[in-house]
Amino acid sequence: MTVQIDPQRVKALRDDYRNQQVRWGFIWALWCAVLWGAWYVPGEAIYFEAPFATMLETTGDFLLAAAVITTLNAVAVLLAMFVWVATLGKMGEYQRTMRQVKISRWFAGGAVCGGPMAIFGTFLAIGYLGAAFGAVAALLYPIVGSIAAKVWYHENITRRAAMGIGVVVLGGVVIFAPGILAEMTGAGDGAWLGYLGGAMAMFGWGLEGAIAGRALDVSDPDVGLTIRFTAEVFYWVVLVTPVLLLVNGERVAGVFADALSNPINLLWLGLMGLTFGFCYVAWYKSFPLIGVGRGQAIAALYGPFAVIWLTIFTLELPAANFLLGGLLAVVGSFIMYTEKRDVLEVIRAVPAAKTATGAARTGGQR
Amino acid sequence: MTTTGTALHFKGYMLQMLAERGELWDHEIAGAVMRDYGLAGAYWHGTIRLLLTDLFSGGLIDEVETTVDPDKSFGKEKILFKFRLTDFGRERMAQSGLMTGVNA
Repeated sequence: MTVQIDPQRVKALRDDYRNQQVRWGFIWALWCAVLWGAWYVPGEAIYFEAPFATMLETTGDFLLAAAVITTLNAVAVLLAMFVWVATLGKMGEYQRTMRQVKISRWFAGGAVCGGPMAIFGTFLAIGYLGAAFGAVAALLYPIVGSIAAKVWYHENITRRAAMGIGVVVLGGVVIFAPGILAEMTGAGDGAWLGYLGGAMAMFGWGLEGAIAGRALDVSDPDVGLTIRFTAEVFYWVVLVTPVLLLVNGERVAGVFADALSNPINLLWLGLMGLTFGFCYVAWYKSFPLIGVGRGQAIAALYGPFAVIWLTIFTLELPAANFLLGGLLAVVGSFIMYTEKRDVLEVIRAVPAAKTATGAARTGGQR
Repeated sequence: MTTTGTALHFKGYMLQMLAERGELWDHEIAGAVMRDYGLAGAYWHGTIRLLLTDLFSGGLIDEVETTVDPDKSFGKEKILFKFRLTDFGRERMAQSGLMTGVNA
């Protein structure tokens, strides 16, 4: 039997719960930004190790290096995710969700956009044009993701949210613009592959977010992400690598063998798996709570965080434009964070939800 | 429940439960899931509540009533929600193959 208590107390608890729901959405997205930024450190460092350090001369070698690094990155992330899901006691849920083909196929589709498009594109951009370009090229992805989510399944992108997304993106561009200009002018032959990689990252991650948002409507984020990386590992290990082996077996096998026999590479891959795996988990967890557009925009704070992490590890102080860009990005995230909570409680523009959030809740039946 | 039963993942199972039974309290849903999947304890209770929060914020389910009853939330004063499926939730279930066998 339901206990009768003070309706005002119930309303206060209810409002607090919904505030926590929105707050956690933003916290997850912010965690994603912190770890995503950190990922660029091992992501760039691995290019300085054998065998990749000597694969920067020809386009063929370069593409092969990016493909091998992306493959190993995907495997490292999947291993980290299996540990995570097993720790949460959700391995059974992983198998049950995997068997729901009408759901797991969406994660497989998201993996195409996120893996062979975005991550491979990022490694191309990092290799050709540096980590700074790789990071900023993808910073525009929330625009792609939020438009896709709004058009596809009517996600609430208010004017305030759109303004916040725009300011965050602008902040990221200000941070990296001087570096990009320098890299663009200094880029040698074949640099167009780096720019193509940057565009692949932007569209790939934007579309992946929208697809993931659709699949996460009916599935668990921890499990969904693990299925997404299972699919990506399948693409690279079962589809792409055998083709590469057919084309140039000895060379490809040699690069894999050299990469895995270098213990420093294993350290970088371990760090890549942890940072990228948990950044992705946080990204997926934020989408159901605050929506794809907001989750992606807050996660785009990875730009300032990438600069902070790269500064810590390279001991080179950031330029003045970092302060301005970082300030813009933080202002943009606050514009979104301070949006009225009732707008954020239900992230979809669906009739029933609108009715629900518009009505009073005082502890009784409505 | 449906013919697919606990072969379903959690969110699918919870959505089917709401599609079949109408309005349900969150502790009733958590209790049913934990019983049918052989789970126990506050961790799984909290996990199910988090998944219900996802479903609510996504607009698949809707709040119809709220109350507080520590007996239903491990002795703590927590808000309890009664939920129902929305038309959008029903549509998304159909798109995801989750309406098969539902006795709505």
